[in-house]
Amino acid sequence: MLPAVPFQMPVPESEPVDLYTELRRLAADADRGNWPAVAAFLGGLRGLDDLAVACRQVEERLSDDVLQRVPATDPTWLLAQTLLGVRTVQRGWGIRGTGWARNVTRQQWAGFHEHLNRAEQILIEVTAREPRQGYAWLERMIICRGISLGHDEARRRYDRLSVHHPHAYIAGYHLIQQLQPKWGGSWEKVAEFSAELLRSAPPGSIGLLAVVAGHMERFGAADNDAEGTALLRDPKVVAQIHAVADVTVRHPAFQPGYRYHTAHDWFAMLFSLIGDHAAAAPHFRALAGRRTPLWSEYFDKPGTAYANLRDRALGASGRG
Amino acid sequence: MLHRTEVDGVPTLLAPGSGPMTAGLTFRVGLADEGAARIGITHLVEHLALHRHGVADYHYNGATGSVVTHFHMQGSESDIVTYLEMVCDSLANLPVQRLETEKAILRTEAAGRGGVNRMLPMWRYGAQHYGLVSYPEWGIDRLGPDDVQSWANAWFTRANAVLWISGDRVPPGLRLRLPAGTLRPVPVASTMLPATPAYFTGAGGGVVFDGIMRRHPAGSVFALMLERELFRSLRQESGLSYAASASYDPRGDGFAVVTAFADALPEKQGAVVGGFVDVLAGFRVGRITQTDLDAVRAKRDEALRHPDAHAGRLPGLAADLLTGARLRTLDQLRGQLYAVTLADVHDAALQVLGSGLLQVPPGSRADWAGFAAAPTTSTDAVPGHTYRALDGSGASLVLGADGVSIVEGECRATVRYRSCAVVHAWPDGARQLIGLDGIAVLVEPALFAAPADTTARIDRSVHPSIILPMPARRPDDIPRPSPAPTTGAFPSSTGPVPRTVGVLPPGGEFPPATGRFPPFTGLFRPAAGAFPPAAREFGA
Repeated sequence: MLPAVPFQMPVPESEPVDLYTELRRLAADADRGNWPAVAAFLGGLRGLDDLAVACRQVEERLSDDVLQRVPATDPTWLLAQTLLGVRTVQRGWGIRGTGWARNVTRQQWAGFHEHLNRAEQILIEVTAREPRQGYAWLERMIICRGISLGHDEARRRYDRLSVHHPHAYIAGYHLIQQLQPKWGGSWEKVAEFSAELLRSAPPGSIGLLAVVAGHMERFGAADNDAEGTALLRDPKVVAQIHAVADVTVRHPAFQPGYRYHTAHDWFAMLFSLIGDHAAAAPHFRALAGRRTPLWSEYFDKPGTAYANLRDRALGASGRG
Repeated sequence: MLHRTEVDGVPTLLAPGSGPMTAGLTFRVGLADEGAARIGITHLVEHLALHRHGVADYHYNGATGSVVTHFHMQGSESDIVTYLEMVCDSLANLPVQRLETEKAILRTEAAGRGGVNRMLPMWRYGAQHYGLVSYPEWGIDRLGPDDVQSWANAWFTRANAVLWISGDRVPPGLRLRLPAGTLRPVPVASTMLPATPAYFTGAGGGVVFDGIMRRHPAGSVFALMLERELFRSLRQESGLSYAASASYDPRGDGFAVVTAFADALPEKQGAVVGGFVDVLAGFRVGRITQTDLDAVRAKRDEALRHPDAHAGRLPGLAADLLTGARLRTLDQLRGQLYAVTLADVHDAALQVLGSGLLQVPPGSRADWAGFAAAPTTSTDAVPGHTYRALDGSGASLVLGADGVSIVEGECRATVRYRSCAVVHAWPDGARQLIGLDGIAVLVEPALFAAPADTTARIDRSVHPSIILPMPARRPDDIPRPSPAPTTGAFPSSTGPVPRTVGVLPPGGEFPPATGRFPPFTGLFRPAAGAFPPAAREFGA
């Protein structure tokens, strides 16, 4: 991982509730168990990406009890069931732990599978009743990975989601996870999917950010930073990153919603790593001293790495 | 439009048809009546009965199903008289000199038997009654002239038959010389599935499903809607399947089986399982529309309005009459069809899905979708003497007063003598016992330090009529204990594969093994609507 510069003040990560007032209010409603307020807010969001960000802020704050009390006749029942499914998955991962598969005990596997199967059955019912429930399809993509149902099934779930929510960034991000070698795929499959996105997503589409996520994942999976950086500095990769920037963050039709910081994080990281600090600069300026938890996926000391790369990009005088 | 009369004491159905006259004689006997040790005997009788009618210009045939056997022919009135009288006379006096030749013909035909849903009955019912359609016709080898003639005398009788004719009259001079007999009830179904919906891992190529419901006109509507939705979802929308089909088939006992199938490319098998499960879930939650119902109803109505609909229903009506179902006219049927509501279809779907059995391709599971793994092993072992495998594999053979078990680790396969369906007996002493539940135990005495009289004890403990002698195995095919453990007696259906003793494909007819296993391979032939002839026995 990249060495941290000594004496640099680490920049703390910001959660969406720190960045958006309405999400802070949403979280407070969830803490109070005010389901009607939570459901009304979530129901008013326009895209699946905003919904996914907002849901993540309430899932751990709501209790099963609050969600189970929503009657089946209530229009928000499907959403409540979806969040119940997500919580069940999270409990399953809590039992398994996030370590290597080889360190998971038989009992942990059993508990993990039991929870994921139960969540899946809740979500099968949700998507059967309402195939447009994109957030349930998204969670089914994640379950598909957890219980190893295979790439073709993951792709089917992505396709079902995409019929009603084309080019959602979060769906592409999770498919790219599935397509990597660590989940039985290959970097060729990741590249094929990225090419497909570039061909099919309209300019300005937030879904194109999944392509750059794929490049960062490739970097993160390399044996060491030197190898990862070399892969990113391949001229074709550099060209593709610029091409994605042209049709997303640099494009007038780009509407990132709650993914604003995520989008600029990706380009700030990538342009810095390929050594193009000038290209990284506008993204650090856009971030205005904030960073999302994404950095901790790729850097040992994310706060310090961020500060260091930001200073390289902006220089002492241009600090934004 | 449907007239009933009688010919020589045989109930007779008449309905007009537009083409040449077709007539048939249907008997209430089929595979489900045979017992595991005699599988194939009805088919053999059917072949023998038709042998004398070996004239090429007639359009005649026979068909052995699960609970009925048909003989039918198309032609002039006098052709039909000749044919039916010949069938009856042959049944009374089978040309048993043809026995070995007809056995050879049946063995050749066996290669073409079976549809995509071939294995589901074994998993649902075991090696008995409605499950026997899953098994090879291994009973025929041992049958002698007396066996087939007494089978014919017992089942092919006047009281157990219905004559049906597409035409307005019985051909003049027709006589049906059949023994008196009695009308035989259909077997009582019993399931081997401790929990449903259930699943098992079968051959590749696609996903197959069936479920049971009370016989009701909504069942055929549900099957048509299911087929339409599988096709729309898996083929048109997702491009995962080429063929998708569903059918509704009365079982003969007041219940009906809804069967569905979708094929899959090798690289799409997991997605077809997922897509199939989601289609079923859509019906379970009642996501069905009046538009879909109206569309399939119109299609069904069109079929019922076809000029030959009356005549085409005759074999099914004969089966209905023989199994005590109410006969309905086409007008009544159409009336019922238009009375079917969305709620009726949903109720049919809930019955079928609740009792469902899903066959998934190798490498797939369905536990995640709420399907319980169908049992591949027994729940316990018999008490008795335990003999360890000589090859150090850790497997044990248990010989008890009540039966035999093979135990390895947590896996047990047990056949109790009182519920043993069939024993395959090799001259070298090997025995394969198959229980009524479909679980098999292969006893290779040479592989265990078992007493010398093991084979004799097994043979003494079961009824002699269920022991099927097998041809001698080549010396190389007879397993011998070796220092290195062999593999594979317990098959992998779901979960991890335990390692145990007892591999031997003797002569390659079927792979004997222990546990529940498909008794033969290569029968998965996906094709559009490729259900076996055993289906379609009934009218509705």
